[in-house]
This record gives sequence, C-alpha cells and structure tokens, in this order.
Amino acid sequence: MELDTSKSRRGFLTLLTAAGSAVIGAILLVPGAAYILDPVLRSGGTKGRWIRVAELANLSKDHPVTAPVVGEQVDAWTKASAVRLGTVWLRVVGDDKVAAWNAECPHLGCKVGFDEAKKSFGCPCHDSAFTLDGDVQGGPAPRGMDSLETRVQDGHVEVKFIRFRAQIKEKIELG
Amino acid sequence: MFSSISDWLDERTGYKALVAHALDEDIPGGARVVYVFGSGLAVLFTCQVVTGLMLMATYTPAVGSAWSSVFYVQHEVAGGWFVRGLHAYGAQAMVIVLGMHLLQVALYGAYKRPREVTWWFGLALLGVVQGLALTGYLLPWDQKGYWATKVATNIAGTVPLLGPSIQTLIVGGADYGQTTLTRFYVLHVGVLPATLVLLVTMHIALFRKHGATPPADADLTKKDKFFPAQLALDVMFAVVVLLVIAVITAWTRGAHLDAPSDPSIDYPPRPEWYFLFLFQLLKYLPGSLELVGTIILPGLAGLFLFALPFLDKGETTRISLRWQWLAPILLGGVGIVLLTVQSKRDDAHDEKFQHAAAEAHVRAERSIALARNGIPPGGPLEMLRNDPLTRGADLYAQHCTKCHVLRGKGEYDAPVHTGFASRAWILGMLHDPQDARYFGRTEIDDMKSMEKLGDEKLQAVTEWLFAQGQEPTDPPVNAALAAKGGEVFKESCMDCHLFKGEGADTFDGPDMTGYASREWLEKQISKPESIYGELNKMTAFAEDLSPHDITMLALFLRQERAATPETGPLPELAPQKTASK
Repeated sequence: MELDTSKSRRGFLTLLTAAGSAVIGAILLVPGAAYILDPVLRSGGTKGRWIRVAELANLSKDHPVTAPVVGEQVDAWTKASAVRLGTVWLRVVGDDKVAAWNAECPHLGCKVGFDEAKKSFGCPCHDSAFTLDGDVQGGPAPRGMDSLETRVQDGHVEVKFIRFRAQIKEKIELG
Repeated sequence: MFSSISDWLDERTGYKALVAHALDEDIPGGARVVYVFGSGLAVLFTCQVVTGLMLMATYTPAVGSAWSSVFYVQHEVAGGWFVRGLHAYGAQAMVIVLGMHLLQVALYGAYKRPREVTWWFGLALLGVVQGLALTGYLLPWDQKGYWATKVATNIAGTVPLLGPSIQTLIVGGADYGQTTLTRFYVLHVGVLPATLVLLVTMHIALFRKHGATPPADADLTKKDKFFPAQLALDVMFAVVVLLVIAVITAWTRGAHLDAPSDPSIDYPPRPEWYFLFLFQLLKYLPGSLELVGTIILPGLAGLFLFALPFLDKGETTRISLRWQWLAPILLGGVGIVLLTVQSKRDDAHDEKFQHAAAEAHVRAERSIALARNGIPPGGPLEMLRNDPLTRGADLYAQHCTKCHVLRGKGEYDAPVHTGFASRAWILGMLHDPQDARYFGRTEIDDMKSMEKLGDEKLQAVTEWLFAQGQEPTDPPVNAALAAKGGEVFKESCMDCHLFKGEGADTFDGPDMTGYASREWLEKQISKPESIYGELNKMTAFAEDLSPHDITMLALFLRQERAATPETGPLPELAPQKTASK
C-alpha cells in the first residue's frame, strides 16, 4: 500500500490515529464508567423497617441496654434473612415508652459504649461523649446520637432501624 | 503553557526522546495493512486488562459465590453485561487475530534468520493466550465452564507418566472444587498475564531490533516511519476489531451465563469454539489412539512450528519457493476449520444434543430469574434446590418418568401427568377413568365412567374436585359451581370415596379430602397405598426421598393444575383409544 508522507497526509494520519484511539477509549470507558460508578447510581437505602430488638421487661430507666438489630439484608447478590445490621442503645423513658439510638457514633461511625460510672455514652475512638438522652456532652461529634423511632408491641420493643451519614450536623439517612 | 510544562518534564525524565524513539521506527518497503496484527493484539490485550480488572472488582473466586458474582455483573451492575461481553468476545478476538498474525508471519517468512527467537517468543505467547482462554471460562463456575474444564484437565491427565500428577496439580486435588477454582483464578489473573507481559516485552524488543520483514518483491527504496503511516493503519484495525466486538456484545446482550455448576445434572459439554477442532478430532480416534489427538498431533504441530526456522533455512522469503514448509501450516489451518465446521454440523443434527442444550438453556434462564430476587447465603445451588420448578423437574425426570408421561417425556405406564389435576384432566378422567391416559394402564379398575351424571353435573363435580386442591395463591375457582359439585359428589361418589372421614360405605376408595393439594400430593408420592389401597402399584417414595424433595415434587406437579387445553397444547390429553390391560 502506497502512503504519501507529505505534510497534509501526515496531519490526516495523525488525526486518524487520534480519532481511532478516542473510539477505542470510548468503547472501554463509557460502559466502564457506568460499571465503576454503579454504587453511586444505585438507589435505595436501609429503608427503615420495624425490627423487634428486645423485651420491654429487660430494659430500665437508668441503665441503657444495648441490643443487636437482626433483619433481612441484601448484600450485592446475597439476600439473607437474619443478619446483624447494627446495634441500638435502649432506655425506658416513660410508661411503655422506650428511647432508642443507633450505636454508631455520628462523628465517624465507631460503636458508642456506655460508661456506668459517668452515666454517659462515650465513643472509644475520639472521646465524643453523650448524655443519657443522647445529646452531645463533649468531644468532636457534630450532633447527638441518632435517635430512632420505637414502639412497644406485646411487651416487645421494636425500632425502625435507619443509618445516618456521619460527620455532619444534620441527620441525613444513608443510601 | 503546555510546552513549558512538557519541557520541564522532559528535562527531568527525557520522555520526549523515548516517545520519539518509539514512533520513529523505519518500516522498510513502507507501511502495510498486513503488519497490523501485532499492534492489534497489543490493543486487544490492553482491553482485556482493563475489562478484566473491572470484572475483578466484582468477581469472587469461591465455589459458593462465583456464579452469583458473575450473575451480578451480568444482570445487576450498570454496564456490567457490556464489560463482561467485551472481555469474553475480546478473548475470542485475540485467538482469531493471533491466528492471522501467525499466518502473516509464516507467509512472509518473518521467522527466518535472525528472527528465530522473536518467532519462538510469539509461539510461547500463543500458548499463554490459549491458557488464558482455557482458565477464563471456568471462572463463572457455571455448567459450561465446569464441564468443559473437566474434559480439558482430563486430557492433561492422559499425558504419559506425568499426566496424573499434572492433572492433580492443576485441579488442586482429585476432585473439582474450591482449589481448582482458586488455582485457575490465580493462573488467569496473575501468573498468565504477568508471563504474557514479560514475553510480549521480549517479543517487541526483538521485533524492534530486527524490524519488519517486507515481502520478497517489496520496493526497499520506499521507507515509512512507524508514525504516522503504520500507526494509523494499526489503530484503524484495532478500531474495526473493537467495534465488531462491541456490536457482537450489544447484539447478544453479552456473554452467556449458564446455570450454576452441578455435577449431578446432565449437561452436554462443549469447549469454546476455538478448541472444538480438538474435541471433534477425539471423536474419530478409538480409545487406544486417543493420545494421538490429545498429545501427539498438537505436540507435533508445536514442534514443527518451533523448528520451522531451521527447516526453512533458505535466504528467500518468496512464497512460491517455500511452499513445502507453508503447506503443513495451511493444511493444519484447513483441518482446524473443517473439524470445527464438522463439529458444529454434528451438533446441529444431533437431536439428543439439541434437546440437552435446550434443557440446559431452560435451567440457565430459570437460575437467572430466581437470582434476580436475591441469592440465599447458601449459594445458587441451594436456591435451585428450593425451587420446585427446578428441583421438582430434576426429581421428576429421575424418579417419575419411568411410569408417567409429562409434556411428551416418559413412559405410558401410569396416569399421564400433562395437565394433571387441571379441570380438563379431571373432567376427562370422570368421563373415562379406564382410558389409557388415566387409570387404564394401572391395576385400579374399580372406577367406572361417570358419564351417566350428564354434562352439567360432571362440570360441577370437576369444579368441586378442582377446588379441593386450592391454595391461597392460586387463581380463583367458581365457588357456586363447586358448591353444586359438592352436592353431586355427596350423592353420587361417596359410596366409594372418602371425604373428611365420611363415605366409602360400600367400597374403600381414595380419600378426596384436599385432592391435589400440596399435602394430598405429598401423601400420594410418599405413601400411595394409603390412597389407593392394595390396588396400588406405585412405588412409595417416603424412604427414597427426603420430605423436602417430596414437597418439591408435589409443588412441581401442582403447576399442571393451571394447564388448560386453551393455554397450551396438551397432546397427551387427546383421546387415546388404545387402553390396554
């Protein structure tokens, strides 16, 4: 095959090479970008569902109790019926009334514990501290512990388990 | 601005000289279309790396979840089917372009002195690419990959002396399982690509050292540089190949994913099309000559290609003067094409194969439909075990078709199950219980035709019997008609039949309580004599099958209730006047 190497010919061939490379790149990158960005494009969050977490009789006013939240989880392709989704802190606040908080620290998501001596919640990571009502008492936490809706049914406490974005003042649902 | 940055960088890296060196290669005799294959392969391999890394971001090399993760790529992740399609068809394109590359190099005599080592690196690359193809299609851990790999590794086992050890080493033990998958995965994503990169580096370095081999009659006064003339041709070729791959991917909605691998399920294994010729060759060789097809012929072919630079020693690259060395390659190529075509033709004319392939397809489709609702933690096989349509059908084929016919399959030795317990089936049975489609081929000969009741009452009893097996999720029944039918049943049938503990005054006939409900069918399958008494000839499956499997069978059979002559052809329900006893 005869190929001229005059200047215009050279320019054309360079352009052809660049355009061809762009096509190759596009074939890979367009689906590739969708593929990589899939988690961002995907909608659907935890969608609060009522989950039974404890018996009312086991809770008290002064000593918050921690309880695992066990429910259905869809993790990529796996759908499991009884998976530990997280932990809640529970405390009785009135007749048949229970307060519940997601145990994830609103600062950076470590699991908040309870200090019996100080009668306050505390995060083991950056020393955020919260009152018995979940309000910030000290440390870097941007907001109080995330309270959850609760109800009492046949002597059992149920919570609507939701996870919230960490590190911000507002309580914004994840997902 | 841009030039000052590039100057700054060049001063520190010297990249401009490097790029210039890469592009500034002399092409003696000028740029040619036939030189595009090497660069094409480089582009294709780059695409395989890019798409492969993406797939690795989702894929899990574990037997319990490999299929699920590939399903997820194919059907859930945005663009996943396209990325996977590019990877799968890209691999096949590499095999084809590699063949063209080899043919071009052979025809042009580019293996001759001093390029022998370049040629050998090329041959080694051929082996590595085949290894990548072979290890790649096991990874989905679907039926196709599983069975094809079983065949391939068994072939490795036929190598004299070392064969069994080689096989055990590749498989990672005696059985196919987790170690096999992990080994193939490491070969596919680590060992083989790394080897390929090393070999390609040497291959290209040697190519640059010796340059392209122009045809014998080329005008050597004419010279091109690699850039832009040859590079433009190379890129255009790569664009065409990638567009073809992309179009095929879009056209087929990506690469096929078979049902999850299950050693207990019949499957007609076939290797990928580029290994079909070897597969076909083995059909013509008796067992004692098998080695000829698996080891000796491929070995001789490899040896011939390896030795080619020494066999074809002359200076000339003119094809007409080297035909005796090119003929074996061309003959081999023609042989491969013919064997491949013949293999496809054999399969196209093989009803058994077509049937098995169709069944495998149904299973694959069903698996994917189920997986869309989420796969249980136990994996896809657990998912299929709990699906009446799949597990029930497997059990039915295994245990029931020896006597029953369902949808054209099985033996006419007992009541036909096509449309079993549907309105059409019940009505037909009431008309003529001793017809061959119903109890005509069994010992159960007590029940006589109910035609004397007249059409109206027969319709009503049919509806009533049909309503007995009603479950909450079933479509509604005509309650008024069924109630009327209940009256008819009480009047005319309870002399022989039992219903809710009453009736069967003159004869100990079957209990129709909950007829064709799940529980009734479970009882029928596990202890048929409890329904038909001593006239029963059917095997009691209570001991052979687990309660779970009996439930799966019952649920599978219950689907036939929905059949009507209108919704589908029920050929077995056409009158059969050949009742025999």
